[in-house]
Amino acid sequence: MIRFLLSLTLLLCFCQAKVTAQVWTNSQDSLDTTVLTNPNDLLRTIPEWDAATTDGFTYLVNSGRYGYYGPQPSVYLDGIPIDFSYFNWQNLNMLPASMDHINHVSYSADSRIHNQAVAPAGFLDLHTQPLDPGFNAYGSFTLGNQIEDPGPWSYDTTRVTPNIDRRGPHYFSRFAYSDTNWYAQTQFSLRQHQPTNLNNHHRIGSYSYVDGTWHPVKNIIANGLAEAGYSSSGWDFKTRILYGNNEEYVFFQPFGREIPSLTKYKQLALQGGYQIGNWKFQSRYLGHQKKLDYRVNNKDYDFDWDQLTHSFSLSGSYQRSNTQLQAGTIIERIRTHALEMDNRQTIATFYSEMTSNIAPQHALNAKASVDIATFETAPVLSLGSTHQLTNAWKLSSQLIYEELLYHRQQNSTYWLQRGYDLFDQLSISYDMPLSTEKNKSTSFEVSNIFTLSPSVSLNLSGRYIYHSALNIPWQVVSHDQQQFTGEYTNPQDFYFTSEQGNRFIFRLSASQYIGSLFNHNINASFKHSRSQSRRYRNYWKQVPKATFDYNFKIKPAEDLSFSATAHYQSATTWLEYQNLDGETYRSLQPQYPIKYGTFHIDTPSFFNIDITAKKWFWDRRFVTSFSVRNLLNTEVRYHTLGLDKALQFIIKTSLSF
Amino acid sequence: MLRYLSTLITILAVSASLSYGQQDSYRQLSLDVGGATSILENTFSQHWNPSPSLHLGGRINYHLGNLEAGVRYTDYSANDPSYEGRNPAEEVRFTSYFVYIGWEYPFTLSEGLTFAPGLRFGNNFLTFKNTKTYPPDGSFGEYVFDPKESEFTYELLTRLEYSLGDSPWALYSTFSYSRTLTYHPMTVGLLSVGVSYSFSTPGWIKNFLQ
Repeated sequence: MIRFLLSLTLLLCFCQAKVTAQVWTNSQDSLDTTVLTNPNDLLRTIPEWDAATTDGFTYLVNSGRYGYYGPQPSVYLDGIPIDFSYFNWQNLNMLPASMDHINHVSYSADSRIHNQAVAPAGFLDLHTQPLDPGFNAYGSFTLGNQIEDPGPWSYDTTRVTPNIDRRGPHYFSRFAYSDTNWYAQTQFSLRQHQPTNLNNHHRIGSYSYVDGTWHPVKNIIANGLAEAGYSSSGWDFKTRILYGNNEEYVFFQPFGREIPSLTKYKQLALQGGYQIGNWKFQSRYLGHQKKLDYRVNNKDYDFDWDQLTHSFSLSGSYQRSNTQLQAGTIIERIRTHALEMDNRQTIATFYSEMTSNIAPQHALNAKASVDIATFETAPVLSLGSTHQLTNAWKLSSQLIYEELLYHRQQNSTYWLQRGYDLFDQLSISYDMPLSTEKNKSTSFEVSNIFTLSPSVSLNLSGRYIYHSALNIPWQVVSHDQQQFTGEYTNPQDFYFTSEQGNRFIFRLSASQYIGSLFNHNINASFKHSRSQSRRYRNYWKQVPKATFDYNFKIKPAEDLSFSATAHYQSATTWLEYQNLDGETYRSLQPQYPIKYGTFHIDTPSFFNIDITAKKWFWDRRFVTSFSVRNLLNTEVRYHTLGLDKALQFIIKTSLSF
Repeated sequence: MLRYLSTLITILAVSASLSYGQQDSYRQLSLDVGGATSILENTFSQHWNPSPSLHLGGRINYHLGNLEAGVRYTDYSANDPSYEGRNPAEEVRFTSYFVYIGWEYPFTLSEGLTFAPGLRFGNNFLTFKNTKTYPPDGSFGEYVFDPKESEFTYELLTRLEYSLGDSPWALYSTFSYSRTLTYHPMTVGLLSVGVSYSFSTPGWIKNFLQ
């Protein structure tokens, strides 16, 4: 592998061409949307992050600092935050946005204030391309399928296999009008997914036999937004109403498996800004409601969760040629009503930021913020510098000390300690005391960006994180011996303890951009943990130690492109499921014939390839793309309870005016 | 490895550059009508007996080759007497519509005679007329298999085509190796013959394709 990487790096250095320069950094990415069919696919475009899934549709994300069970990265759509995290289970597919309209993504793994909102585990900001003047209409249709249906062999008792259902279809539409100073748009998406993999179908489907009826084992997600904006003479205003309704199965880690739920999200955002000279002032009101309602199931499980948040923010910034200053405040009022619990909180956040070019080749930046809740405060301090040492070498470093309020850790134990008795409903016993500590960490990162030629850049970086306190939820589930029930896991004692340890992360990335004709990039990362705490070490075994990605895109004609992504991921271990190791699971009862598989706590390392062809028609109004995922049909699995993704193909068509 | 990657990138870049220079894409459209018969002996053909296939397709010159799309219809009846559906008295059959897009690269062997290897991929839409049911393994009643399925299919082909003088008509013969990726793949080898009619692409089609 090392020899291969060196060879590829050398190759990149010597392949020069007449090109447009492009520099890849940790925080900005040039997005190639040709292999993306739904918003969750975006997580695959960020090489620094890891994502685990049990159904291939919703994800746990590790942005680097907190692991899969920590707070999830905040998601923004054109600068406005949207909170789709439910007890650390993230579903980006609730975004009413088409991947065709997103022209770049900015992201960061560092905890920071981003665009007047707290992003405790980093952020992912999706930037859509500006509307064309006049009336805009767009619609798309996406359909996917996984191979290995029985076909005509269903008649053959020696060869028959269970049905594999389709992915999708997904529909998306947008209508918009744009004038010189204002625009208005509406977007609507409907996405469907059927988790029918052998590993999860029986477990999820076992909830669905209610009062003599099998209810569809299916996720149905309907989302919409309406948005309008105005800008003139230094003023700009934007308002957005967003709605999401999701029939899904929320993977609840303390329970060790999924719970059927209707997740709902509503948002009202009003923001305005005024720029005068070097000064810019911004303000925003954000109201959002998150609900987890009852979805029909034969266990009567119900989160009965309703949280309403009002957030007010105000910021001012000053920018001159060599100095940038910013300061602001955010006030959040949160009311949570869940089962018998009724909780009200107010959190105030103050922040400031300064960047100064102390010399033409040297810049310093400093950031400070503090979260103030009723009984505790949590500061975040950051100091960094950037140095253009030679024409081809830029060195940057960042030192961060961070504390994270217990409230912002998004963990269910926080609410348990405030009277949310879901654990009782689910028969989850827990080991007292549950930690109430803040997460505390110190990190130091050094990044080297080498511009080897106008077309080629190389980035080598290393990051060290010391967790002086990291809350880890831990549940070693027991194995349910009654296979026919489909439950497989039962919760035992749940722990929530504060652990100490060290993380080391090394990254290499390189890219070459030869105009629109051809571009490619590689990314590799290696991660290591050191700790006296066994739980800390076991927790980080869920995250792959090594990942490698190679992406290329070639556009042999103006109306045709081909792209491919190769991904390698090392093995992971999910020790919370050690009691299931070697145990047998089977397909859902009515999915005759019964087929069997075996649980393993180790997900194997895998190498897979996705390819996509895209063709434009009718002056780029009509687009068809065809993707084959997991071309090598290897075992692609991210979680002990997760599906084994076989080869899939996806067809997408879109029409725009 | 280094040499291999360098060569690959050079080939891709050169072929991309060449194709940019080709300006006559979409100039000529060909419509194909043909029939095909299965010639490959394998497990699938031992259990299923295909009718002659009907094929309709279109090809258009596109940069370095021809872009094509089409559909092939085949009706299959069970060869295996043990195969029976929900109604034991009724014959077990299914129909297949292979809807594809593809690309082929024609070589001129002599005047009027071309040879074109190509690749097709698409979806095979299957409809079962007497669906299979299984006795219940548990207590929830019988299980009836879905009467409609669709599955990814790829196909490798070689086409030999002879143009009839200056006329727009041509005769062609194709051998194709098709694989539908069901759990146990359906592998079919087909020999087809047909006629094609070529004409200048109408402006409205050209505008759509560009």
